Amino acid sequence: MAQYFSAWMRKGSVPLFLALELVCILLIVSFNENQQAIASYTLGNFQGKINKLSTSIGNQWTLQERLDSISWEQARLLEFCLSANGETHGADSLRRDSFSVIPARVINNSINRRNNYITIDKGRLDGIEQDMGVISARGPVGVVRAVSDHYALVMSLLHQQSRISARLKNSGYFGSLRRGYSRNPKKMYLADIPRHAPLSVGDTVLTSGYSDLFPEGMTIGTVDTFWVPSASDFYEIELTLFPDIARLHHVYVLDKKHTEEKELLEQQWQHE
Amino acid sequence: MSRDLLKYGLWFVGFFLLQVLLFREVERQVAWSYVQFFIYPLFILWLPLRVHEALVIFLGFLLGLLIDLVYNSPGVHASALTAMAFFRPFILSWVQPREGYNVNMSPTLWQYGLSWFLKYVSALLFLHILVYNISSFFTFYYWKDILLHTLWSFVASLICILAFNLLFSPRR
Repeated sequence: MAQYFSAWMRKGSVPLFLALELVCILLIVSFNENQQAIASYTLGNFQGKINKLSTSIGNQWTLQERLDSISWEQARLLEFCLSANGETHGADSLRRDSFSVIPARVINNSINRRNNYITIDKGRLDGIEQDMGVISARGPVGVVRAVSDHYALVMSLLHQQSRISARLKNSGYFGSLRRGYSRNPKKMYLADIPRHAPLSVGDTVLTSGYSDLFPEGMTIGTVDTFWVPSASDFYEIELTLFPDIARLHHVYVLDKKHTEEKELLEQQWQHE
Repeated sequence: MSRDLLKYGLWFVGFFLLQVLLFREVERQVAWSYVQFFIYPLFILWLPLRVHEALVIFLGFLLGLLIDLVYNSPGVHASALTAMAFFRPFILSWVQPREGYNVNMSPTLWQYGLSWFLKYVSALLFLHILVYNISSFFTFYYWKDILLHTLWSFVASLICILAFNLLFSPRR
């Protein structure tokens, strides 16, 4: 028995040592001013770090939420700006462009194929329909091609068949914006500008507003180079896009009101 | 047995008084901040090997705490002497002479020789003073000061302890 006890005592020396040292540390920090100050300072630092860590973790959790709420606010602002823009056209308030803006997040995006699409996380249930224009904060990026209940497929500007009506800011001549031969996602071509139009490098290209996809006067890009192919009456214009389609996060889908009426009218006329 | 108890009890009180009455006064007179004299660890160093490790640790804690009460630094000396008492068996087995120990007697200078005693004392004394200074500074920000204090106090204390051993070491 005594043997076991002594063996236990031997083994017990480690916990005893640790316990006594703990008591010593407690004594030190509670009865010595300097050590107490150091301990509380260190503990405070530690607490501060823990707090910081926990808030940063909290931020991570709420970051997406906050981004979404910011993009919602942005959409409301865009709506306001677009309607205010329309009002400056003049007294004829009936002609005012009015768009409702639906914020969306890009969840898939391709840029290096011939036909590129962007997938967004809003669909039919969020009010998105086919042939709505999609813009980013810096300019147009595409047109809605297909819609499911919760997602929408957007034909990006970098699609071979993408055609956007655009005009030159300075001269007012309009043409159509299309994907050129370059695979560079920042480069597009502007076709159908007649060769008598005055043109210079650096001219700004805007949306024309002729289609119902985008409001009039949104910046698209600037003229990079231009030339007239032999035996042609039209410029070939290469321009640099403002929106960076290779780096999209939040986009805004534009829903133009009264669009059906106009389309109906145009269709009737064409059928006859 | 009771004679031994009385003897170690006297040592306990004796080293306590020696430290707080003599060496504390010497420290005050010298007033050289780097140097502190530690004589009381000799109580733990002198305890016979047959004393339980746990009891040695507890006695170390107790003596350190009493010293602390006089020095008005609760826990600082106690933590150092507790650590020293805890590591004593390891150092003892590390410096064990070929013929082994006589567990009934105090491990002294006369029994195992000067070189053995120097190894034994300096290892544990250095540990003690190091722990003392770490507890005293309570931060590694001043690690250079901790080392300097430890070194100077170690040299001073080692000299005192050796002298004390030459004069008063128990022969039996």
